[in-house]
Amino acid sequence: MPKVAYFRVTPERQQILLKGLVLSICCVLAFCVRLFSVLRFESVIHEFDPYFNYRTTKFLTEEGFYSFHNWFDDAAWYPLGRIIGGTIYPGLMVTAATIYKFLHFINIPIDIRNMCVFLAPLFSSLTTIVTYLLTKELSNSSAGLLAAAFIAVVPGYISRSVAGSYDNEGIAIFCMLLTYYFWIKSVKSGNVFWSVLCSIAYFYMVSSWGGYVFLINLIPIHVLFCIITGRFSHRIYVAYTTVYCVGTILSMQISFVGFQPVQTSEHMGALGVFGLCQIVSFVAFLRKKLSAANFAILWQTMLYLIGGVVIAAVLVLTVSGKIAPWTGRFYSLLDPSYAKNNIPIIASVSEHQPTTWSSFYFDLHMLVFMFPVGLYVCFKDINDHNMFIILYGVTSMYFAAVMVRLMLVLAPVMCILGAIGTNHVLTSYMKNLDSVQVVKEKKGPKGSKVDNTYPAKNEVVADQTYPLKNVVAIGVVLGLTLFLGLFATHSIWVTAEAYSSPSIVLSARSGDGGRIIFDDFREAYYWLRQNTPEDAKIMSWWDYGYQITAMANRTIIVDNNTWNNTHISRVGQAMASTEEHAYEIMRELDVDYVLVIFGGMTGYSSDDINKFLWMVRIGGSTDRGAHIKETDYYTPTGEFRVDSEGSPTLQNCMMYKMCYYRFGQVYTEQNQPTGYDRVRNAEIGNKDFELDVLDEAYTTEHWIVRIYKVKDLDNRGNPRT
Amino acid sequence: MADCVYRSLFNVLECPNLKLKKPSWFRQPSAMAVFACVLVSYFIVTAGVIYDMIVEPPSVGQTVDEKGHAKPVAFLAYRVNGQYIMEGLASSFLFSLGGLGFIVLDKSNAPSIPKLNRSLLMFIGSLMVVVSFCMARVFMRMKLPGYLLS
Repeated sequence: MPKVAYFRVTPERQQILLKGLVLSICCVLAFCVRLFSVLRFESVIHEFDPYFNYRTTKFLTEEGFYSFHNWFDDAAWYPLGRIIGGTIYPGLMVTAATIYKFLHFINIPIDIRNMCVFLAPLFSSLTTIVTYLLTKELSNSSAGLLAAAFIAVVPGYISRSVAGSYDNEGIAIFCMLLTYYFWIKSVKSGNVFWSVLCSIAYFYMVSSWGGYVFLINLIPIHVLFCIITGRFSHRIYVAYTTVYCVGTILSMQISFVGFQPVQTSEHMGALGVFGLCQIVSFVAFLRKKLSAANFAILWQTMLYLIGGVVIAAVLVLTVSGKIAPWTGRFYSLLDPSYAKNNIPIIASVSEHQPTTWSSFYFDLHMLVFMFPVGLYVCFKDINDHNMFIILYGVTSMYFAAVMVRLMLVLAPVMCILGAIGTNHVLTSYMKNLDSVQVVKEKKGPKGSKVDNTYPAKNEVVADQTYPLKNVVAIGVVLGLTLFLGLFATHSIWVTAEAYSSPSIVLSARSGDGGRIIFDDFREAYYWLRQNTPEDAKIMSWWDYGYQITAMANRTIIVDNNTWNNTHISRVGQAMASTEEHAYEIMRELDVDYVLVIFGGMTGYSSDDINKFLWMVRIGGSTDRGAHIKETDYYTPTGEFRVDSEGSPTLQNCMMYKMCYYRFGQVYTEQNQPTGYDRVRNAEIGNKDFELDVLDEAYTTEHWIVRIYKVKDLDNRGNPRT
Repeated sequence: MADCVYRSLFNVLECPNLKLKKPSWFRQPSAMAVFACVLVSYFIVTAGVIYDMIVEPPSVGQTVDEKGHAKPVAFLAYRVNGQYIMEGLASSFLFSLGGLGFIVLDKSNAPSIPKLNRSLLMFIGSLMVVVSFCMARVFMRMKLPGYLLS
């Protein structure tokens, strides 16, 4: 009975089965490796920005898309308010809300918080698949599988897409790689179909992250390099023209982007290359139609004329201000010292610092070695799509060096080029494994050799120039496999130790090995939610704004959006001034409660005293804060100290008093006096003082969050201080 | 009418006889030359040179030992986001060395190379790869004392 024939799996089917199996394992791995914090703590949203995204997603699912799109939030940036509908990238919220609605439709009632927490790992699995497809287009499917495996675990990508990190980058990388995949397909095929798909993917990318500016500059740079190296063909013309036109029109549908694609310098490169494409195609068309001499005359005239017109137009438009110059965040990528010297808010964010070698190695491990190999393989046979990945690699390498946060953009291209390189080395050495050295030189009588030119049918001639071919091949293959295994170990270790902390819940090991959980943040926010009037206004440093609005549901003065430097500076002035001066500012802003973070009791080092110098710098950077000078807060020798040798201005400012109120009577460590600050490792200078304009409202269990109520005006009009 | 204006204008002005040509030494560089430049820039960038320019750390750190003498410290320990200049340059040298080692290994696998050259290339290539991997791991352990241990 020929039953066996139905179940015989042909080699092609075997290959497909194997590829499918490896890809599914990579997808499952990508999802599971991001779940450490959910397993250790609970399904909670991390950090600061995700809380804003969570709040907006909740609003979207409850109120519908039109209310969301037209939302003016009066609970933030009191008394200014914030136009949320027009100042966010809605892709993330719309994606989460769509999946949420779909799951509810098929009767899986998942909570919106869980939806937000697990969205990033889900999209990581999808990114794995897209990386495979992209690398398959660039090289071959075995490199694709390697790239999929790399990107499933590479720490540089995991750091921004763990479960709980509900931020734009979680879906932005998926959208970016999808856009690149469709772009490569359209360049290779020259079809309008793929180009339109690329534009739609680009629209999804624009809706999800501000980093879309990178795409709209990389694709024109690719086209420009193709023109320069003489690879311009009708395929690239069709691809770029379609992508630019359809993509730009679609991108302007996002309110936040608006008319920027035709007004700002960041998008002018794309427009310039678009014009250049048309000119080059037209010139090629004319060259075919005209005779050589006529063409030469026409060419020179048009060159000078159009060159002059374009330069004049750009100059006029830039000088008259119609085309905005490169803005702060993106300009600091081109000139890294700009933010440090001019915009303290951008310079103060730790993610915006330049990258060190250890960040590269920590986030990429083996890929930093394989990246040059992949580049070498691409440079060896350059064609249209190889050039694209080379440009992507080189530009993202530079940008990742300027800003640590952009390591996220470098991680996918490191995976792709690393996979291409590893695949190349492995393939070329695996081929050697097949050749078996069988023939030994036959020696005839002394002085003569048997002719070996025609070996026997089943024997392979040993390569005389290649000793130990088999052994070397085995060595290299085993070595690379070992490195791949070490990469996996390193990535899992890094994920577990460094990138899985929710930062809203802290944990530490106590002396006897048990775990202590510090849940002070949520404790304080829920106290605010349940014990303050609904219209209470909370003043805190801008870091905590999003968390307060999302969890405590109260109005705040400044939050992480940092769109108004003057308002933040006012808050900084209040924190850095004496109580009397700060009281004026707090009455002006209608503040009811003030919230500070203090780590001196527990040793939590990201507290407000460590951020205080930034408050001073930002507070002193506007007109009304001219009385605040940074040097006043240092000792005469230039140190920042909180003990008795510290500057008196520091010891009498409101932040100091709020953090250290009643701290002078507390023992924190053995063998140390009372009031020993465990972060600054010093006994505080000003211990015994009373607060004139504030009442202590709440201090959490481990003194991490302290809330003060602002006293009302005195009954008989006397000043409080 | 306009003809007269232009004619009188060009009686005074003379068109410059511009012959602008692309200089002959301006040729498109070969692919491998560009690759060499990219590799040099990779070395510079992964050394954290931009961090050095902005933050201006010292070339090596300093610590005081028991006798009171100042001892140099190579690595800024316990922090992944800080470095001294020398450690950055040393590490990026290792990264580039590892990449070059693999490229040498690939070149030594070509079909017809004399036996001595091939053995030498293989040896050097494997040495570069192994040394750079192990040294990078050691450097990371020196920087983060708890690396791969907890």
